[in-house]
Amino acid sequence: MDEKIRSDFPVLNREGKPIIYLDSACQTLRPNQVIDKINEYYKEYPACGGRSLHKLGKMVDEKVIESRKRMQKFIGAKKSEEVIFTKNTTEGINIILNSLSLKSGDAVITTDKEHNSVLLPVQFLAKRKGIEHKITKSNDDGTFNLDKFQELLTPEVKLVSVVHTSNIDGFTNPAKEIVKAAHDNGSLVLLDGAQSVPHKEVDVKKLDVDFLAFSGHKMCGPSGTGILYGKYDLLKNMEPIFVGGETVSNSTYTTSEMENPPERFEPGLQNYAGMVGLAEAARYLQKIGMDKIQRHDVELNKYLTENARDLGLQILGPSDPGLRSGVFSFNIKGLDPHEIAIMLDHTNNIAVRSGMHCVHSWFNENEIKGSVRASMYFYNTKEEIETFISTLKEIIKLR
Amino acid sequence: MVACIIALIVLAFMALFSAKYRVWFREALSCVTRRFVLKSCNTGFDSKVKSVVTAKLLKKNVKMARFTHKYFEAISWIFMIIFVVSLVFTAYGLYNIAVYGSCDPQNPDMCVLTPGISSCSHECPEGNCQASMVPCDTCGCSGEECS
Ligand SMILES: Cc1ncc(COP(=O)(O)O)c(C=O)c1O
Repeated sequence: MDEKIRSDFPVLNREGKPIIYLDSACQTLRPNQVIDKINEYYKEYPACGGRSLHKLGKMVDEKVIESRKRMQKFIGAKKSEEVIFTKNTTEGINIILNSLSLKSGDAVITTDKEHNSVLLPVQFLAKRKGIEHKITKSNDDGTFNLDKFQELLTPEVKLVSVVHTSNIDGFTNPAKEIVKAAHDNGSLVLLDGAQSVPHKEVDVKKLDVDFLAFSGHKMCGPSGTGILYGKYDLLKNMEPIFVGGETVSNSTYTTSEMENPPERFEPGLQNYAGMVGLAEAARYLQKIGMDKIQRHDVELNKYLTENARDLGLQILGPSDPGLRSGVFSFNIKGLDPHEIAIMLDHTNNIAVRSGMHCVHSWFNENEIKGSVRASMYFYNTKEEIETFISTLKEIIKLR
Repeated sequence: MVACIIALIVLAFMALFSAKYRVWFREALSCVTRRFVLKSCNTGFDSKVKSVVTAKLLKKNVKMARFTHKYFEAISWIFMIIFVVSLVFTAYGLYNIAVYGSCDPQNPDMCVLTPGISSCSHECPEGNCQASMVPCDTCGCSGEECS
């Protein structure tokens, strides 16, 4: 990637010692284009959407429609009505899990590497409604075991909720095969695209996935934004979990008429600045090219894995970096992951994440205290990776 | 734990002057209070302090950084003991001042805090008193100024 792209990111160009940002799996940096779009809302049309007939209100409506269309194109959805604005992946997942009217005796399958944003809603459903939670185990190297998964598919399984790209090790589960097997069983599929959508082309039509949730802040969009995709016919038959203004077309003291999707799932006034900012982020990524972004992530991960070979790091996930997207999760024997992260920050301004990355269940099951996670994106460079490796070399000397 | 207590004391002073250290101070306080009720320090503050100190040293001297990292708990204990000992001496000195008028009642001249005794410690040779120097009562040039 070129310097021109890096110049779009104010944080990468601030004065003083440069920041090496390797925490994009948590939140990415934001380019000026997105920041300007957010400001545009506040400066030019800071009004309500969906209700006011004045010019500013109409402008908001137009921008929201445009933004929804942009997001529809970004994920290859059939209709823009299938695109619901949320505040993050977690909200999208909660909406689906709680709107599907699952009942006692139904079963939900998840993988053993689910983020708490999937695990906890499923656990709660199991406690409150008595649904069965089945967990499909990954292979030892973190790859997906399709055979084991298929063994779990019984008629009771109403939903398969799987993480697309794991935030622990960057491995991308074979969504197409999972969807096919689940559909053959009559089960719906919810894909957690938090770590896949920002890094590769994800086309909901090609995957034939029923639901997809992802976050804007992991793809250069504003904080607290996200998208929930759902096939229109499914959404139309689902009851929302949050109701209020905009979710109904009419109401009496005792009754109400539900709006159609997407409004049905977008209660109250919305984060309009976030919507236009997120659409701008999608436009920005598409302009660079999702293929190019994916290739760059893998190239950096290969370079890092290759050059860190002699350091004796314990890398989580498959040994082939080509299967780990932009995620490089590791441990150094004898050193605590949090300590490594703080030292990287305080020696060379290198921002990484440490701990269990909200997937406590997997770490606890495997008796691993946590890991250091360096997650790369298109604005990272080989020079930054070299500094990261040389700093690790210094830190390793502490053992 | 010891690192947290030391950090708490240092940060209590630094927090008076900079908001940056107030966040750290709160973390140290939470860590220490949790430890006092025998809960683990969930902020990981002790390991944070250790890592920050080690990182600073790592940039200057790897051997020293390794030593500090390895013996951080012991080094914290040494600082803690030094701190407690000086605290005891200070308290004892203040008690003596309050009761006897000097922090060292046996040897009042040796106590700079004894009222009437100046803090000048250098020798002032006889007859070498000059103007515009610091006032010094202990070197035989009482009332005059000497080098
Ligand atoms: C795989 C995965 N799923 C879900 C989430 C939750 O995303 P959010 O906090 O934006 O809802 C994350 C966040 O890191 C993630 O990595």
